[in-house]
Amino acid sequence: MQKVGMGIAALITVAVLAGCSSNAASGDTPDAETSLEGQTITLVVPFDPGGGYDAYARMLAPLLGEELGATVIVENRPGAGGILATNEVVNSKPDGRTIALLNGPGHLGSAIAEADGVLYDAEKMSYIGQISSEPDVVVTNGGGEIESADDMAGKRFAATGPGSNEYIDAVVLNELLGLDSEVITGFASSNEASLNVVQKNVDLHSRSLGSQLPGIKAGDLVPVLVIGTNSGESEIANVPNLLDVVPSSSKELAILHSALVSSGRIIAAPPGMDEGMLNLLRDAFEAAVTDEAFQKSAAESGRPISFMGGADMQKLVSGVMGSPKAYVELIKKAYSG
Amino acid sequence: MLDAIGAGLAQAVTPMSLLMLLIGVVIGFFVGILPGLGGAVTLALLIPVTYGMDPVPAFSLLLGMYVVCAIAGDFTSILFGIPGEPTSAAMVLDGYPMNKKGQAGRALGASLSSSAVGAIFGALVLMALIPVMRPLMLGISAPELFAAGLLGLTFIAALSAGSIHKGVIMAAVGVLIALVGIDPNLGIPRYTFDNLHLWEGIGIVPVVVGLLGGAEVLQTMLEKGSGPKQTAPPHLGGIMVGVKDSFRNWWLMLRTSAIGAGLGILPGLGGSVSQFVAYGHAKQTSKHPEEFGNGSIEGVIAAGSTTAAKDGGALVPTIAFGIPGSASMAVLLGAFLILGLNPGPEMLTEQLDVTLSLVWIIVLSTLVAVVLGALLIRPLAKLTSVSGKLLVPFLIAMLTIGAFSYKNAGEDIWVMLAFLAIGVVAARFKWPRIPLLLGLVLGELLERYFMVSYALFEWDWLSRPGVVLVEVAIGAMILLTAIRVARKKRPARKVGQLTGGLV
Repeated sequence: MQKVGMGIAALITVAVLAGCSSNAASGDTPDAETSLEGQTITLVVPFDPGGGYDAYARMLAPLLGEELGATVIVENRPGAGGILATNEVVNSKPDGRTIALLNGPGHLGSAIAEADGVLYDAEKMSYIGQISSEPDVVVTNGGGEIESADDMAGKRFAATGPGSNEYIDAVVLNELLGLDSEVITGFASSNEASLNVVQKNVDLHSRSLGSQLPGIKAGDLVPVLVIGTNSGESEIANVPNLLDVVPSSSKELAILHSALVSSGRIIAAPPGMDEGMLNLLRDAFEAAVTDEAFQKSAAESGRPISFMGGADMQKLVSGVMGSPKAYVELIKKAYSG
Repeated sequence: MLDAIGAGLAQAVTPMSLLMLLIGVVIGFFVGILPGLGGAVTLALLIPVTYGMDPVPAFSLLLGMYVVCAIAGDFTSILFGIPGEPTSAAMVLDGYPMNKKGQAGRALGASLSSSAVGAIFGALVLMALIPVMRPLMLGISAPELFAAGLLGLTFIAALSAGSIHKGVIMAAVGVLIALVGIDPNLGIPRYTFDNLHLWEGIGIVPVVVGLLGGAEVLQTMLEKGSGPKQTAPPHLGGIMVGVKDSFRNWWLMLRTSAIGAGLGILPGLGGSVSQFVAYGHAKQTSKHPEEFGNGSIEGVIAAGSTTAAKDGGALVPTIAFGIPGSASMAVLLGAFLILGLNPGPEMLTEQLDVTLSLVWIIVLSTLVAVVLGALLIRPLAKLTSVSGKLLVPFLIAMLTIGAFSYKNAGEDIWVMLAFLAIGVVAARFKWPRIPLLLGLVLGELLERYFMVSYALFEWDWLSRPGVVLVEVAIGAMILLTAIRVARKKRPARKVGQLTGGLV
């Protein structure tokens, strides 16, 4: 009997531990003050360790901590393409001790599409600023078959799955340029989709410039189209932009989509944050990422900084969220598969 | 090439590189021993430390840490029956029963030496493939991955001792569990019950930790006499016996190392599948298959060498095309880019010396790990004679942390508990647990790559050279097994009493 009792006690211990951990994210905190000195701030990354988001978060954390006199720790909460972590952050206290690094196109795209699982109003969140922004680049293999946007018609795109940035791009290009192209989904990762382009199993693949650059530099991939603002990288200097090739009837939608892609990597906090705290975070963020030494070392490690202030970011979000029906329908299509 | 091999070695043995290597190995040892806290997460935590370093010292730290993780992960499997890493699950099957028989030292010695041979074998495979890496990777796409997954499925028979029917049913349950999550092609949620946590499916870490480790802890706790108690005090003089055992089985070590390195090359397949393929292969070819699951030294050797050999193989797609074969390789790829290295042709020409220094780093860190491991075996093995009352709370904390830290998700603790219950019931009624694990891993893989193969090539993929090769291998294996079964009478079946029918 004693043994059974011990077993039950052990199970209870585990259950309590489980309960604690799921509540930990929103644990008790003292009243919000307009200083975060000596506090511990959690910077939530909605993706696995090791990717671009994780890298930016870990670069930023010590500097932001220094500016605020606080300790900033990075916590990876992967799941549901980022929606899981965003839902959690939105429901935590707006006391400045929980912030998140969000994937702009994914975050805003799923909000516009009212995708399954989204439990928040993207416009109401408190935006602290943008740390990076890069265009998406559509690439093909070195076969020389596709040289212009027109050649893309009837070809096949690779993508991980519906709702991913690369799938949204393919659906939008199909619609705006009238390509009638097939999108092959199911690849385990974006890198795997890319290898299939090199292998000539598929023709086209769209993802961020930073992810495409190694393949372009190695000569395995050839850029054919840029979506969003070209940041001046020499590798894509002469590549046409979506805005140049789109027919005038679709220009408005192309501009909207370029804005969505350019929303980049965003630092955000829960909705309802008081103005003093929000300004404190925005100022500290600005001071951290506009530091010249930081920008230089970030660029050298292949993670260039592109700063936008929180107020401007908030406007960008409102603009995207107020998109006309035609664009909303298009994005919804990109989420329904 | 010879110049580059020398230049690679010269860079790997600079004082800075060696210091970093040593630090990496020590960190790797402790991370490997703790279940759940995996190599991938630790790599990510270490990357900021490498900012501003030269590539070779940076990789000495990162790769040194990572390689040793796999070796040390096996220690936890042997000592506590809890896999230290998801890739150490096969080590539990025979390493833990050996420990229960009082042969912890022998098992640890065999695991350490076979891991060392496996790691060095993997590094040599990496070096040998440098000239043909890119053409090789151009031939591997979804159809080849599907075929390899199918090959893995054929080992279910070998992994379900006792009753093949029960094995197939458990594998089917595993495949059904793999259906949970977002459909990879259409993006439609399946069996997620509006719970976002389930969108990415049931994770392998909480399942392994609960099904094998958790069930073991709970079972021993409820047994009469309480706690994972030794039937005999750990026989530590056996360390050298274990080392000798592994070298006596050198041919097995080489074959299972080749399986690890070969499957490691295939992105996405990784160590969680190859360990069972190697284990199944060892059992099929063994003269004493009835010992497997009850403390077979051959099982320990197969699991040890294959797990350590996979890393050399996994670096192939990472270096050749920047395609990471696993979560850890994805993190390592991030480090390549931060350090200014571009995976692709550059790594095989201008920066060939850096690539070759990776080979040397694997070899050196393995050797350091062997020395460190040999020193730590005695104090670690003493842990097994700690009374159950003291050990059980510690083990439960390890299980809970292991499940939680996989994705920083409390939900995974519930997943772990659910599989703990399944594990206890399965053990009680002697249903094999490993086929369930294999079904879970392979179910996701087979579905994904079948759909992608068809979308890319319709049915033409069935005649791709790589696929045909694997089809022939599967056919040959089935034929050989049939012949063997027909020739000799079935050996008297012993039910795995010690593992409660783990396999």
